[in-house]
Amino acid sequence: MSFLRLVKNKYFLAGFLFLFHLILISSQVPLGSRQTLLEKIGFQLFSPVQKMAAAGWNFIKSSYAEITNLAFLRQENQQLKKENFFLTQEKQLLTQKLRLYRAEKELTDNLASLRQKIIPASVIGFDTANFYRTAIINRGYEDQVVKNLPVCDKRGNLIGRTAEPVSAHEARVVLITSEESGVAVISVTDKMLGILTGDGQGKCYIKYVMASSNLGLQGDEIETSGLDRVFPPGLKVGRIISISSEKGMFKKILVQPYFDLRELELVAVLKENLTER
Amino acid sequence: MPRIRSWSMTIAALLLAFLLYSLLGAIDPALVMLINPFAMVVFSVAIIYGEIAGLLMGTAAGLLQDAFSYGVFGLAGFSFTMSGFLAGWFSQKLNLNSFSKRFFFAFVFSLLQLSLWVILYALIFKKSLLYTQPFIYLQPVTTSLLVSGLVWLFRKWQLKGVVG
Repeated sequence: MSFLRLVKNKYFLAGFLFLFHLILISSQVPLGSRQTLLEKIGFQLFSPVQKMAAAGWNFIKSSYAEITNLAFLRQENQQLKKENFFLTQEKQLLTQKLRLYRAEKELTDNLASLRQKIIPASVIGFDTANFYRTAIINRGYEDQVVKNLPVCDKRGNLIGRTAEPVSAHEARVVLITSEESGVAVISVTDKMLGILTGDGQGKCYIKYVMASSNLGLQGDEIETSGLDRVFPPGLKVGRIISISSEKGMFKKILVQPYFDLRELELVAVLKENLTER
Repeated sequence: MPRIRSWSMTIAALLLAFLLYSLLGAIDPALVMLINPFAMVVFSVAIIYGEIAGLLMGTAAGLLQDAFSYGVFGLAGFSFTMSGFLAGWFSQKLNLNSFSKRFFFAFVFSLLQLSLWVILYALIFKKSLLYTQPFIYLQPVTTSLLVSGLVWLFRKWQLKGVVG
């Protein structure tokens, strides 16, 4: 049987493709933190399409809004939204700054430079298999986005950090609800330290708090501690919704993150550790 | 000539599914779990053109879907290749002329594809998608409804000579 006839045989072709997929899958398992070449190629190829789709959808949405609203009201609203976005980010960061720097002059100096340290970005897509894992933003290395930059929502709540792959105009954001994520956090009331990670189902939990410890209050607010040197201290993360210590040596502390996945349109990438100055 | 027409239509359908998938993901990521355009195209093509078309379309659509997910590349590719081939093979043996028969047929294979994908995902990531994606339970129903409708539309157009 010639090779061409072999390829034309449907059972041979089916067997070949099954084998191809099995080899493809097994070449990527076990999973590591490094991105595979295929993933990088896929990201470079398909993120512009996602960006186009998001832009198309935003265009439809804004066209509809334009029909229903008066043009000048819309313009004013956009302006205010933008202003509000920066003000919320600034307020969040300034609150922290106030704790660290009381001197008025220092605050004024920092205020001017704050705006240049926030990169506003739009979310153009999510991981479609599990959208609690990663999001894609429309800013890349040409906008000075590199890996491991904190990303906040429009209210200043932490949503995650940038991760590879980062292309010229797009970047991946590992959400705090992802199992891949790890954030050094502290509780506001009793200063309980821990590592926050995602459960992949929309919630987070704090690891490594001993079951024998009396720290941890239900309803307490959680914010970044800054100990991981990735996230600046004081970024709001979420609220403790349950604590259990039935089995094992560590407590199971469940946290409801503040950010809402469906409201993630505009996000802020923090270019550098703003509270460390 | 009709063969070229069929293949160009199939490729156009795949591109359309790709655009629709991107758009649905941009509107709300949960929507792609409810309406999966790739599944619609794979099973429609498998029913209309048979196992080879189902197989190749399954591979292409599956790998495209994998490109939207960041993890292991090939999970959707594998499940779509397998289910596309089987759907095409069985569709040639069975009488699928009525809407209800097509609906049931597409439902079974959509369920098979989804189960394969969920099982593979759970095996590799140690995480079940059944608890994170509530719309996933409705996907076989919406897919089979839309596939039945698409095949009905295609056959109607075929009679009129609009499509090959």
